[in-house]
Amino acid sequence: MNVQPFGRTLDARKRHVTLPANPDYNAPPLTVECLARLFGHDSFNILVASEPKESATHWELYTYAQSGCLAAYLPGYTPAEIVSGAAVADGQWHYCAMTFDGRTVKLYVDGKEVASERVRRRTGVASVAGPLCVGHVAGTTLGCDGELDEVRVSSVIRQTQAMPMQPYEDDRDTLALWHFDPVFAGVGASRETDPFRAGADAALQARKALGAAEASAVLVFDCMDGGAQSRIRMIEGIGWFFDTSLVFGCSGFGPITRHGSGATVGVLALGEEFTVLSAVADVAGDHRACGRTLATTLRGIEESRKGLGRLVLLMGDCHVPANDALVQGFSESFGENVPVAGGSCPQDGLLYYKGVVRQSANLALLLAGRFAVQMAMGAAATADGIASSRREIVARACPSDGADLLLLFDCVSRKQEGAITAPEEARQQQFKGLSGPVFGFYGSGEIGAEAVGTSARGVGGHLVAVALTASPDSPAPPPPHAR
Amino acid sequence: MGETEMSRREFVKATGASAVGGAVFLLGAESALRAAPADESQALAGWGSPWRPPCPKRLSDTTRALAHRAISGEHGKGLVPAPVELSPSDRALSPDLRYARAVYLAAQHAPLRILPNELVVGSASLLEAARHVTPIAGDPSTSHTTIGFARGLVEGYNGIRRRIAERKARGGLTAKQTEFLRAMETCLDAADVWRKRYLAALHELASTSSGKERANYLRVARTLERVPNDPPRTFHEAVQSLWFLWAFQRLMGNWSGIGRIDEMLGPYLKADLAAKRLTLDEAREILAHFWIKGCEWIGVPGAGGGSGDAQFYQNVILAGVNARGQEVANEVTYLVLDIVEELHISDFPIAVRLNSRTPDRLLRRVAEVQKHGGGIVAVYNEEKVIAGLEKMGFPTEEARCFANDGCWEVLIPGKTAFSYVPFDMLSHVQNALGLHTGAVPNYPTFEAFYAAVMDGVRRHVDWHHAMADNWCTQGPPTPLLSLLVDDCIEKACGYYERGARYYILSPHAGGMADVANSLLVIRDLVYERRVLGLQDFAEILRGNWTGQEHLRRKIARTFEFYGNDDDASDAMMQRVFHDYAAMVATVPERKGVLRPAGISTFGRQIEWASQRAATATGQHAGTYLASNCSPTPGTDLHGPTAVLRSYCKLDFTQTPNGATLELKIHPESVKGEKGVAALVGLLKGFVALGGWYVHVDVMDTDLLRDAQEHPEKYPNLSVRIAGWSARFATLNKQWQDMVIERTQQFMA
Repeated sequence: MNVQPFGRTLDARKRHVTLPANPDYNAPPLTVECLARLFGHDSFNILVASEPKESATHWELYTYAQSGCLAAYLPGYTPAEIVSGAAVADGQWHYCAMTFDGRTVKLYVDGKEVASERVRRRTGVASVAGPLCVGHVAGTTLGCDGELDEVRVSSVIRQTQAMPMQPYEDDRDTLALWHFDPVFAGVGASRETDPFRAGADAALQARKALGAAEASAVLVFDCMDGGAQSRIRMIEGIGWFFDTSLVFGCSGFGPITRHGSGATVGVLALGEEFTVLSAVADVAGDHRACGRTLATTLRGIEESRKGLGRLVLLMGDCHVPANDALVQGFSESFGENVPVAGGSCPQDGLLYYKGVVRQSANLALLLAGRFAVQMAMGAAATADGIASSRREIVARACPSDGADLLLLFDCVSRKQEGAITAPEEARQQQFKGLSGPVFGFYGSGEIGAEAVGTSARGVGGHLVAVALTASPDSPAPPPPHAR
Repeated sequence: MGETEMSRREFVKATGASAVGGAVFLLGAESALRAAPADESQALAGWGSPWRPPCPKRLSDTTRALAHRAISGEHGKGLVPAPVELSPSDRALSPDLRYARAVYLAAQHAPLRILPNELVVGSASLLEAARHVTPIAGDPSTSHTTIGFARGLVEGYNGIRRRIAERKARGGLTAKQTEFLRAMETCLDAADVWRKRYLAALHELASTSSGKERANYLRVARTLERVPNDPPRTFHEAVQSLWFLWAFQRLMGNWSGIGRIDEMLGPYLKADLAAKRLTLDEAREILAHFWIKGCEWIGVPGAGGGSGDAQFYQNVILAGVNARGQEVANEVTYLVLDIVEELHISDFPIAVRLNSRTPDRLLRRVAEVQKHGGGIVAVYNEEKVIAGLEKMGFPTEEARCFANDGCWEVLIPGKTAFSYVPFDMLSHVQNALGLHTGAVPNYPTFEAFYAAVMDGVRRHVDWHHAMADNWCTQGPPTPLLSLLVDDCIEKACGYYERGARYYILSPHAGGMADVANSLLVIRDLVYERRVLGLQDFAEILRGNWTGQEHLRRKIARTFEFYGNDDDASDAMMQRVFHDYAAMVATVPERKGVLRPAGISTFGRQIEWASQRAATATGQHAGTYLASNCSPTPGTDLHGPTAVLRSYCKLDFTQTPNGATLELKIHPESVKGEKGVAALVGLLKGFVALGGWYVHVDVMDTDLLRDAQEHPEKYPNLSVRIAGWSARFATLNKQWQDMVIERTQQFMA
């Protein structure tokens, strides 16, 4: 039987993942499934386990030492151990599953039942709360010599006689699910007019979209009414869901997201895949010098990040054509081997740097990680032109109709009143046929290049699309989804 | 050492029906002897050295050695199953007569235990009893009560027998009532059989020993010549009588609290001291033996579950006013504190009744004992307790006599059949949030949400009242227990058949601090700041905070929860508290059953943890949350005074069945004279601010963690659990974790 993982996997030899304790993980009926490629069988290999071993409601799916046969252990029941005769620690991928309806424990390998045992509840054993672990048992040094993928714990008895043909869906019966594919980013947007509420609303959506992954940076674009005080309130709202020291961004004509038109605040939470370095500098009347300062600050750090995908985002109070001076200054000092994109807020706009609202300043973010970057730039002057130009640059940046993150910078659609109508904007922002999260902003001067490898500039285009795609060979962080 | 010598020194034997006539035979002696080696070093092999507090040595080495043996579990391990069964004809009797027959058989056959140099004798030596079952009869036995030892002491069994005879003579009894009174008389007969067996055994031991040992056997025998059949004349007789009254109930599995021991024994000591029949040191030795014998169930296999080896509900009350409003504290009060301090015995948890006129001497002694740790001495503010009882309708004289049920819930001793029904109040918040169903109704305002939560509580309270209507209209037979419960003889009805004067079935809300804190967060984040919607919040809680660690931590950082003397959170706690109490108080009494509100968890936060979802306050599912009326562990950040201030903002006259507070204070912060003064200040503040009950456990959390890892190093390390203390090593990991996770407080 040919079993293959879907996307990236968890290398359980290097790390295990957990979810906090939840009694639901232990109440039958239960189905526990995973794809496993196990290399060693000298020791026990823990696939999935809930709570510590001394708990009456502990269960674990594992392979037996020496034999490498799939087994289950439920100390709150008699017999506590159910051992199959199916050896799975052979370096091949297998689909392993356990079902437990409260009376019978069944084990499956590659869709075939390999053990079935009626069990009785033992008395006198108490439950001890503990986490749900993949590749590990809480409170022990037990681990797993292998890789795991598509780990799912369900609150029903699922059909386990058929091999999974695609990644599991997160349905209503799913208690916990790991794909081990990176969640690159989460996007949220709000139409609230109260700045605090808008910030909180957009941030919550972004936070939810990021799943269990940690945020490495939070980009915020908005078109709130009011000045700095309004933005301070907006960032306070965001601060309920993200550390405000991770917040960067600027004011503009509004965010671009999939959430339709009319949003006042958009929030992009970058996931653990990114390492984000930042620099800020006051304009002090010279955007070119400001760009050089930003580059100087980042350059030393950048040297240590070779081998990773990189992207620089420049933004700030650099209304066109100042944006061109900024990017030139930056490139002079930083070099042109890293793609640069970004944009400017309208004149006298506001900049958000580590959660602090600033004026007359620019910032640079260096995103590093295991991703590839593609970029396209276009120009347009009319609503129809904007629509076709956007389609064209998105298609160039995303040749396979999607990306793990698409960034858009648009300085034309709202440049003049009526350039693009709200219904048209809403239609465009559905991004039909395109997969992955989309985030950007309507500003007053984009920064980008025709393509990666060409020089970045701040004039000559109106729309910039930057597509980030996870590198297939990069190790996966564990972004579990759990109810 | 040969068996003959062993059996002389360690008189562990059982006698048959003919034992009273002098024929003695060993029964179950083999196991008992194994559990009771002759010398201390043998008895304690493998148990380790007990920790003793650094305090003056007032007790003799002999007494300290007896204490060491008892605490080691030597006697508890020697309990034996009842050696006899009911005959078929016995089993055909009515429940009361069948029960009485079982009492009689137990009195005849239960192994006796008399140790050399014991000043008090009588042992509840049957294993079933320590497992809360009536030996031989197999009926459920009774706990959570304190029966009338004060009256029993003064009247003696003969006085009780006369009352039964008088009641029978008046007639007007049904056949069942007549049988009940007959069963009571059989129990009295049985008690006398037990007394005579001990008496005979003491004389036999005296006949085979000499010198001081012989003199001691005869001395103890002399007390038993009179008590408990007749009122005691001396302090020693009074202590022996009280022990026999209590131990005979325990022999049949009834776990009663002791009640107000200083009020009961004080007059006898006063008279002995005045007549120079006894010195205080001698009195302390006698009383210490009462305390040591109270440890005889330590180490009973299979008793206690995970909650420790001392959960037998044998609380002792000290001090406070008597029925006439006069302070009770006397020399017995201080002797008890001396004994507890020196022997570190936690098996009789002490509750001292304080008021605004409590003598400084007593406050200081309480503090001095508390600082040694173990949480053995807790305190009531009797002014609040009495006011609450008066509000319930008890006459002032009666309310002033309150004791507890062996735990900390209050009742009128010797007159009350009591029980409580706990429920998880937090579940009603979680139900309103739809955490277990997935559906969150639309609550447009916080008040709508609050109303939904309290509707759930109301439904539970209504259920409680309906259930209470029929409570104690029938139940297991209790002719033995009912001997010491007022009105059972007069009504010729048992404890579970409405024979007692008062019936109290109290609803106890658990998790109130978590409820108030959750409501505070929801009101603020959802309805005031509007950080997120209720649906989103519920989804986050259902997801157990996955991916929302920042929000979780921010909530913890942002809010001052109950226990920090913060007016906003305390106001929410006051609101929940008041609304719950008012809800219960709508039916203060119905169909003869009082229903005072109470607040408790004892250790139920452990079992509830597995049913509770994550909380709005940032706790993950499965976390051990607030106990009793204490703050949620780890949320009380501003020291014990702030905790006390928050707690004391509640009007405890609204919860007459109690609401307790735990404080775990670091030993370093109560060291020396300043530490004693600080604790005295805390106690005074507790009374002045209007607290109800607080147990102060002076304990280092790091030491507890070490004890969890190395139990052998801390064999007698006691910790306060709730209404009882337990040796930490005998708690299971969950209970240990619960104690460890309590907030470590430092006195300024």
